[in-house]
Formats: sequence, C-alpha cells, structure tokens
Amino acid sequence: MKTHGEIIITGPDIGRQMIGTTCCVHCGSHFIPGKHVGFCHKCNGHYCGPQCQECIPMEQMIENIERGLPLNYKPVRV
Amino acid sequence: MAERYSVEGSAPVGASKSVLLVLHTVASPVTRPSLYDVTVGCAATAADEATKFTLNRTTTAGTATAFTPHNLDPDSGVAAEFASKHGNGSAFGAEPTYTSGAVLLKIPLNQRNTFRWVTDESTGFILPATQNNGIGLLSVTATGTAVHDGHCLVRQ
Repeated sequence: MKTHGEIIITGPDIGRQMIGTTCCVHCGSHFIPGKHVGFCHKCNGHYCGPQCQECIPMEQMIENIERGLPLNYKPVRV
Repeated sequence: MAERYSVEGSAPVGASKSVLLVLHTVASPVTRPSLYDVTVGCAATAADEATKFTLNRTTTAGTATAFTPHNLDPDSGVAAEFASKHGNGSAFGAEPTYTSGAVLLKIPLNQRNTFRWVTDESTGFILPATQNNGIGLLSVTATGTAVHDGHCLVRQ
C-alpha cells in the first residue's frame, strides 16, 4: 500500500521507530494501514475504515464544511 | 510558492484538554492552509504516564493565548489568514468545539517518548476556508497531568 506520511517515535526504551501512514481518500485523515482498510474504486485509493465506506471524496467533504452542509452531502449528478 | 509557518503550544494534558489550535481568523478566507508536520513531546521529568492525543477538526476558536505563526522563509511575511492559539503552559480558558468523529490522526503516547508525523505538503490536513474552523491538537485521555509540547508546520 502506498504511504503518504511517516510516523517517527523516539524514546529511551524503543530507540527510533518509523512507520508509514496512508491518507484516506474520503476524510483526509492519516492512518496506519491495517485490516479495516478499504479501497474505493471511484476515488482509486484507500479509505481508513467502515466509517468512511460511503464515497464522499475529500474535496467534496471540505466543500461541505465550507458551505455548512452535512459532511456526507453529495450533489446530484445526471 | 507556498508560504510555510511554524506554530507551537504547550498545555497540561487530561480529559479533553487542547494543547494547540490552528484556525482561520478572517471573515472570508480564500486559502486552505494545511498541516504537514506535527511533533508532540513532553519536557517534564520522565514518568510512565500515557496520553491519547488526536488531531481533530474544530468549528469554534475557544479561548487561549494567541500565538503568532513564525514564517519559515523571512520573505513570506506574516500569516494573513490563519492564526494559532495555545495554552502557554496552562489549560485553554474555553475549549474549542471539536467536530465529532473528525479525527485526522490518533497519537497514543507515553510521556517518555517523542512523536513526530510528517507528510508531503500535498497530503497534509486541510483547513476549510471558513472563519474559526481549524484543527486542534487535543489530549483525549491521560493518566497524568504533565505539560506537553506540540509543534506544527503549516503551509498557506
């Protein structure tokens, strides 16, 4: 799975640990890839879990916030 | 070329305690800044305390000390549209309103460790172009109350 970010944790017991994160194509969050990840064929990318299963592309979600619309609003396309 | 800024904050952790907040301040913003680098750590005496942080979307400004973002490039000028608030070592006077479920990054962290997340600027966390909307670094739960430090890099 393609990674878009990197988590770096340093500490006395663990030294330096690094792990990649992937950007959710729907909500824009970053997550560590795991078994609850899904793939959206419309957006051609991974989403972070069941709560993001509905296809609301990130750009649409940001516009919904800016217009005061529900986060899961999708305009009708014909 | 995008302008980049550094913001920082510090506050004691606990149940639903903000450490820092980046938000739009003008009435009609035209840009969508994005967070692309986040560092969280603790400068207090080492102790085995655990805190769960999240980066979460917010819809109100809350009440806290204003922090002027530092420009990474001296030619960039001041941050025209967004600003930052932090506890400055104390808790926020009034917490911002966090959007339920809008968690952008979860950070479970032991006090002895330091956490950094970094991404390409194009896949950072985007602030909607709406006044008082932003992204806050929140301690959701904590076993201790030590002051933790947060630092973010923001592209405008």
